[in-house]
Amino acid sequence: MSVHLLTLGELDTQGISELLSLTDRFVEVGRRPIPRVPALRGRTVATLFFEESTRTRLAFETAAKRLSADVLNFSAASSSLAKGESLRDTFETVQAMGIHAAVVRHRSAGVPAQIARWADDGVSILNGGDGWHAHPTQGLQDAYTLWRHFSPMPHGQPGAEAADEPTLAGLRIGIVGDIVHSRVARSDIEAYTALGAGIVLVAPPTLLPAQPRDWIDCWLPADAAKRVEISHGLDDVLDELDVVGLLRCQRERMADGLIGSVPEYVARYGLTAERAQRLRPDAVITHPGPMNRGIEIAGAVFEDLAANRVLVTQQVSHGVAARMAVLFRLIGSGTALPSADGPPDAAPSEAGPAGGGGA
Amino acid sequence: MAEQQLPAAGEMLVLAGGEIVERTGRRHADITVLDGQIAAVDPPGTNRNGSAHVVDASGRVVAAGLVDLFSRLGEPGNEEAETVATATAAAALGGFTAVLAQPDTDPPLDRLGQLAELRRNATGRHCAVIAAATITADRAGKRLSPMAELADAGVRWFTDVGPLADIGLLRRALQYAGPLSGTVSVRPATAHLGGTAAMAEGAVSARMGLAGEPAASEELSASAAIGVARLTGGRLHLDRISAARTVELVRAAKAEGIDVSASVAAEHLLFVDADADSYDTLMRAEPPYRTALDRAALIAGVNDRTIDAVVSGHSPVPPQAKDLPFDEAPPGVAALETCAALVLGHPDISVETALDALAWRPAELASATQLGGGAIEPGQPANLVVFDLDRPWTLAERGSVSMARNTPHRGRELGAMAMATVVAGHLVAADGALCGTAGTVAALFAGNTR
Repeated sequence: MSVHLLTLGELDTQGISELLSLTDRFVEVGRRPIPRVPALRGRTVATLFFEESTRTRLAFETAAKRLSADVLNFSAASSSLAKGESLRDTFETVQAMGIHAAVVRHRSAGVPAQIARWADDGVSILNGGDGWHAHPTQGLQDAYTLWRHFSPMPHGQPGAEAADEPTLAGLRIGIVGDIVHSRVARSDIEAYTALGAGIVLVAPPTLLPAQPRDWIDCWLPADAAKRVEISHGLDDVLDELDVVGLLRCQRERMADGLIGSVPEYVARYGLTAERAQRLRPDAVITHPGPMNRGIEIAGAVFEDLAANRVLVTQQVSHGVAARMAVLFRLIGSGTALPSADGPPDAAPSEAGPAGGGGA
Repeated sequence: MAEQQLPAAGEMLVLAGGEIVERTGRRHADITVLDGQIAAVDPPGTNRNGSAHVVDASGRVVAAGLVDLFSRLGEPGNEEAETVATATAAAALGGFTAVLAQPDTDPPLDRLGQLAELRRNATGRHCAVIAAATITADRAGKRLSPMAELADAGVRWFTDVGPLADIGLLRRALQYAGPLSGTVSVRPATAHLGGTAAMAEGAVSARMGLAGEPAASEELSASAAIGVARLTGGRLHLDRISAARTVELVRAAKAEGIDVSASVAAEHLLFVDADADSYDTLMRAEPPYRTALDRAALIAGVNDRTIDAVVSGHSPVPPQAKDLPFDEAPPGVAALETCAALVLGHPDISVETALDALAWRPAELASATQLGGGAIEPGQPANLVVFDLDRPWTLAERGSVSMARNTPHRGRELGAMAMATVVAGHLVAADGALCGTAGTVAALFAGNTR
C-alpha cells in the first residue's frame, strides 16, 4: 500500500479487503467500555479542511484520538488562505509543525494528490474528499457497512471464521442521483466493484458524466466495468436492487438547469412511499448524509422502514472504524494487528488495539 | 546566464557551412551578413573575409528566423511573471526573431498610447516585437477598439485573445478590418459549453471529477466564425485550435476559398488529456489538451498545411500561481525556449513543414517577412536561425532566461536545439546562450515596414 490514500482505485481488491478486515477489529474496539488503543501514541494527525465538513472532520478526529494520536486542526476559515497564501505555503507550514499524516479536504478535485507531491518522506496524505473526485474513506465505510449487513460478523467476533473475507459478490447496488458531481459515488463505485458487486447508476443524463459508458470503461478494470450498468429510471431497476444508495441532491443543481424541478426529480428518482413498498423485502437504503428528507427519500419512508433497512447510522458509526483502519495502516506500525484474544506478535504489547484495550 | 562576446559594430558575420532550408529547396552555402542585411550567399568555403565573425553551421540547418504568432510578454500587468526583456531573450534563445505580442495585458493594448508604450519597451531587445491590438475597447467584448487608428499606426493583427462571444461584433470587426488589411483572430470556444473549463470533457475529466469543455465548444465557435468570414470576406485567424473537427472545418473553409488561417500551440502536438490525470497544473492548457485522436488530427493538419502556424502560446505565470488547485491554477505554458525545438524534433513532422509552420507562413500572416521567415538572398534583412536537429538537451541543464518557470519540459529531453539566432544582422544568441541585443530592431518594428 502506498504511503498515501488518494483514491480507492490505487488499491486492488486485496488492499481494500485488508482495510475492511482491519475495520472489523476497530469496530470491536469501538464496543469496548473505553474505546481507545495506544497504536498511534506519539503520532500527529493534521486535518486540513479547506472546505468545511463537520461530519468528516469529526469522524477523522475521533478515529485519530481513539488511536491515541495527537490531532492538529486546520480550517480555511481560521487560516491565512484568505490573505493570499498559496495552497503549498499553507501545507508546508502545517507540515513544518511535525506531522505524520494530513487529512486533506478541498472543494477542488486533485488537491490531495497535489499536496502528496509536496509532502516530505514520512508524511502520509489522506484524501478526506476532493471536489467531485473521490472520498475514499466514505467508500470504505459504505462498503464495510454493506459487507457486514449482508455477511454479519460471525459470533460478534472478527476473524472467527476462516472464510470471512470481505465481499459484496452477488449484490446488485443502485447508486441513485447526482452522480457527476459526487465524490462519494466515484469512491463507492470503486469499492463496490472491487468487492464483486454489480452496480446500476440511476440518474438523468444531466447528472451523469457526458459519455458515461466511456467514463466507466476507461476508468475501471475491465471485469469491474462490465458489472456497471446505467439507467435513467429508478422504476426500471428498483425491484432488482439489494441496495438503494441514495446521493444527496443539491438544490443548486436546479439553478444550473440540470433538472427541471424538485417534484419532477422526486417523481422519477426519489424513494417515495410508493416505491418503498416495491423494494425487495431484504433491500436496504444507504445515504452519505446529510439527507434531504422529502427529496431523495420521503420522510415517512425514513421513519417507517425498520432500523436495519436504513443503514445511515451504521454508515456513520463504521466511518470511525474505517478511518482508524486507514490511519493505522498508513502511519501505524505497518504490521498485522494481533487478534482480539491473543498477544501481538510483532509489536510491543500496547501497539495494537487488542493489547491496549483496557488502557 | 553570462552573455557572450558580441561581434563589434559593423563587423561582418558569416554563417558558414550550413544547409540552408527554404521553401524553394535546400542548398549548402555560407551566408555573409553586414549592416543588418544578407550581403552574400556563397558556395561553402568561398570568399572568407579574415576579419569576419564566423558561426560554424556545418552539419546544421540554417533557416529564416522564426516568427511566433502567440506570445504573452508579461508587460504591462504581469511583470511578476515575465517582462518584455526576458520574453524576447527567451524567444531569441528559442530561435525566434520576432514575436507577436498578445494584447491581453493589463491594461489591454486597445489604443495608440498603449501601442507607443509597447514599442518603446520593445526597442533594443533580443528580438523584434510585433504589436497586436484588441478587437474591442478595453477587451470588454462590447464595442470595437479604434482599429483604423491602430492600423494607421501599423497594427495588422486584432484579437481579444480568446473567444468573442458576440458573433455580430465579430462580423463587424471582420468587415471593418477588411480595408485596413487587418486580420481578426479569435480562439474558438463557447462559454455556455464549458469554454473556460480546466479539462477537455471526456472519460479523463469524468474520472478526475473535473468539469470539462467538450470539443463541440470549439467546433461551434469555429463554425460560427467561419460563417461570418464567409459573409464578410474578412481575414479570419482561428487561434490555437485543439479539436479534430475544427481541423476539418478549417480544411473545408479553405477549400471553399474563405480567407481563414489557423494555428495550434506546439504542446498540443505532444500532450493529451490523460497527461493531466495526476492534477499536475503544468498540464493545464489553454485550450485544454484533448484525446489522442484530436492530437493526430492536429498533426495531420500541420502536415497537410491546413493549420498554417504552430505557435508557442507562451503564457508566463508567477511561480506560486501553479501551486493552486488544478481548477483554479491559470492555464498555459512558458514555451518560447522550447517551442521550435519541440516542433523541429517532432517525429511526425518534416523539417520543411516545421519551418513553414514556425517561420515562413506566420511571417506572411503577420505581414512581417522583414522580421523573420523571409527569403535568404542578398539584400534581404538578416533574420536567421541555425538549428542542430540532433542535439538532445534539457531546459534544466541548459538553464532558462524566461522569468517564468511554468513549463512541463524542464526535465524532458528535446531533440533539436537553436544554435544561433541572428536578428537584424546581430548575433543575439549562440550555443544556447544570449549574446546581446539587436540594437536596430526598433527600426524594423512591424508596421513601420510596410
